[in-house]
Amino acid sequence: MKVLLVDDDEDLVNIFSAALSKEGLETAYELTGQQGISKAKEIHPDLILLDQVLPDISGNDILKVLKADETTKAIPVIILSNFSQEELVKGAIDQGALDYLFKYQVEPRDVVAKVKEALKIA
Amino acid sequence: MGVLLSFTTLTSILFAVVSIFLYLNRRKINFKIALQEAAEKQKVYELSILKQIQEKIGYSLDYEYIVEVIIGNLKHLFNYTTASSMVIKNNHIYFKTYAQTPVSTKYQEQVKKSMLMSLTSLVPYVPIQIEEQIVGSYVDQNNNTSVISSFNIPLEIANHTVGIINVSSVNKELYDEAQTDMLRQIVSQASGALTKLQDVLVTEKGKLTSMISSLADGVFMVDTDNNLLIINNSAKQFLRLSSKEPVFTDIISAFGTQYNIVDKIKQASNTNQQLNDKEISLNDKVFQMFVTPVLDPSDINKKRTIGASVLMHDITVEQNINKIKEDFTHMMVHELRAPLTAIKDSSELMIDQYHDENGLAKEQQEKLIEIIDKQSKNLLEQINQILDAAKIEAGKFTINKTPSDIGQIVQDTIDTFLPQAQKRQIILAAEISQSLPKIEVDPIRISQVLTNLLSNSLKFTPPNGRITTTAVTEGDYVVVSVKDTGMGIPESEQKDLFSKYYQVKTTPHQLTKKGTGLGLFITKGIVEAHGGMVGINSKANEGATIYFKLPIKATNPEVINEHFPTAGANSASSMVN
Repeated sequence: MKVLLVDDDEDLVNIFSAALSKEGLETAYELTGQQGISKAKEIHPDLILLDQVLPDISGNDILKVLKADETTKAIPVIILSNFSQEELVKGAIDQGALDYLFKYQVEPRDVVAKVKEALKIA
Repeated sequence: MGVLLSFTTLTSILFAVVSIFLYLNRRKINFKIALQEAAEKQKVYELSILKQIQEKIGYSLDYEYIVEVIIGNLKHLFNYTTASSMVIKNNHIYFKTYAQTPVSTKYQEQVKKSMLMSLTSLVPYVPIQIEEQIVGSYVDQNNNTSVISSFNIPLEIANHTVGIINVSSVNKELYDEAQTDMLRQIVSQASGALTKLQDVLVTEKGKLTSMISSLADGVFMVDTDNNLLIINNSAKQFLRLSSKEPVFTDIISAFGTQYNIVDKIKQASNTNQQLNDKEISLNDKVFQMFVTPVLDPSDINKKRTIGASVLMHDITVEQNINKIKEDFTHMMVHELRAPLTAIKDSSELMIDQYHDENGLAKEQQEKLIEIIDKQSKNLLEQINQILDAAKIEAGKFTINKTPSDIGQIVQDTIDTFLPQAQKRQIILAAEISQSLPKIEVDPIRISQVLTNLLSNSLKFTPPNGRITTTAVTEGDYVVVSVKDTGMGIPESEQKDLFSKYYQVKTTPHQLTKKGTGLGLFITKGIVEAHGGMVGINSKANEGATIYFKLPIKATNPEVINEHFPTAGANSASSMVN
């Protein structure tokens, strides 16, 4: 199972990737929105962990692109959000995001649990 | 015998004559005494009336009431059938008659007509509406009385006639000059007192008005009929009232739905207590409102309210400062928590590595260790910044000056940023003058200053941008400036740029670029400790140039440790030797 992480916080990406790898999940990551979209189209991951605040495109706009594309629209997306951005989160859920996490308030194991739940693996 | 008789007769006659003489004389004396007594009595009455007037009017300017007091006392001085008053108040004429015995309608009309004529001759405008009242005896339709004797005396306050007093009788009373004069004198004394009181009130009101107008707080006052009595400029500004002479309804609409001023005034008046409402937002400002009932000073029980005063205290700045402090704490906690969390998560994953069969790839392990290394340095740097800022604030910040090659410091600092800039495709250019003199600075601290400026520029300059660092001599100073092609800093924010709580307002996409925000505050502190200064040239979206100037000649080269009191103070003059 492949998980794609799109987030510009490289440390966070590395930590989450490591935690997911330990559970036997294959991971890939990109630090910008544009590269994230290309990567999604290229590797067709089973799940995307998507940051809402990226330097080039907003997470919600990336979500729009992914959901409009036949090849990527079925990929479940979990939003990684900052605190106090409830409005953005609501927007993302409305646009078809599966779930969300407040990234600075969760432990890597919470991310793993959420991903496993979404991928329906024990 | 005859001689004896005649002697007796003569004696009797003489005695009788003496007695008569004595009697007459005594009568004359008694008459004089009686006259004197009458005069004294009159004086006493006069005095008592004046005393009463003085006591009853107190500090009242209600002349209708004063006229009543005068009329109520007239019976001690005159014989009359009616004593009447006619005063102008609130665009009405109030005509009041005190009748000792019943009079006819004709009689009352005669009095009214006479008084109206007097009044018309004395005031430029006589109101049409007349309110009539008769007190004491009544108007008897069948009675055929008419005014036989009468006189009018005007009541003047500050050279303006405000009313007429009339004394009339159905009899031919002797209202001689002495009597009319006496009443004239009483009335004139009363009006004199009133005029003085009015002068005092005008002066006091003037003082109060100028005091109220100079207040930074908004103040206005209304009476119980919702008439706006006074409003200062601050209140007009806060409420954005454009009319020069606003009325209470203007205020009500200015408050709109934000504050029900009518209800609040009612509430304050009913409970007789001051109302205090915090945080009322209006026209982009926040106010603390005080609504205070104004009590009638003449009411002994101090219960009757005659209006309310409203004070608007602008707490926008306090609110903003509180918000800034709150945001600052919030941000600091986040900034310290983020690296710590990364360190904790990475080390946990590394520890698990020893117990777990599903190990991490070597590359992943390296990354985690790098995170621990980088974030612990980051954390340490941030804690150092907090400590520096605290030292600057407390005036306990120290620098260690040594003769230094400023050009070299600049170049070395730029070099440390090269990998980072390359990664972000930003050009780092250096224009360092070859003829820079050696100056007395703390090289570590000056490098820290440039590090702060460069890392800021890097944060806010998009890929393919350019950051140019220049170091030149300008007069008695070496000027180092860092110019970028970033988003710039709006002019409105520039004055706060070097303050402790300043953070460039970022768009949501730049949230992740936040730092402690203390960098520029510390920069200013360090530069000022060197006797130098910091500055900025920038326009929003046109990049920014932040520079610092260091004096070539140190204020005192012997001193290596210098303390300065506060970062905000003028550094050049606050250097302590």
